[in-house]
Amino acid sequence: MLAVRDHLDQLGDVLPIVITFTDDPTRLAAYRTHLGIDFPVVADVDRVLYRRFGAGRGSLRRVWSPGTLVMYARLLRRGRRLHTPTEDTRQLGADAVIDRDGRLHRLWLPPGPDTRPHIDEIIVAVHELTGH
Amino acid sequence: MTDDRGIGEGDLLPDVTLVDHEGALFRFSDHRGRPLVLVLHRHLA
Repeated sequence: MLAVRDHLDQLGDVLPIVITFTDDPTRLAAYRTHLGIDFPVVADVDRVLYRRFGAGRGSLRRVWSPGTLVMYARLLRRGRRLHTPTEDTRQLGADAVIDRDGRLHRLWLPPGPDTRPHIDEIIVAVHELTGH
Repeated sequence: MTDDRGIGEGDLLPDVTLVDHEGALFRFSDHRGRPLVLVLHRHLA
């Protein structure tokens, strides 16, 4: 969502919404501050949207790939304290553009944890709605 | 019992009740009239 944050000027009058499935919504405000965003961060504790969008779960091999392990090792070397995750680390994300009437206009379901649509694809989908 | 039917492009977004960063209930239907970009996150770090 950092790409969305960094391209708000190209997205026009859209409202970005970050959706998580944390079962501790009290963490959301700190997470929002950490990201430096001023749009909503919400919790879908029961993962209803994830299921209805068809966002799957990645395989252990994809989620804990060598690239992921290298990234965590790098964070540890930088002094970052890592916590044992309490959430489902295999849950994959999704990205969606919703039109003004509340209908799903475009949906991206990444095949793995490291894949998301390029911000340009999201901008094009928004412009299809806004006519820009 | 939850409704787990899949939704596709052109379908109405289900009005799932969510909780926002201020602890308030959040509904998509309260934001009709404006396009939305939803970023469904993986787990929080």
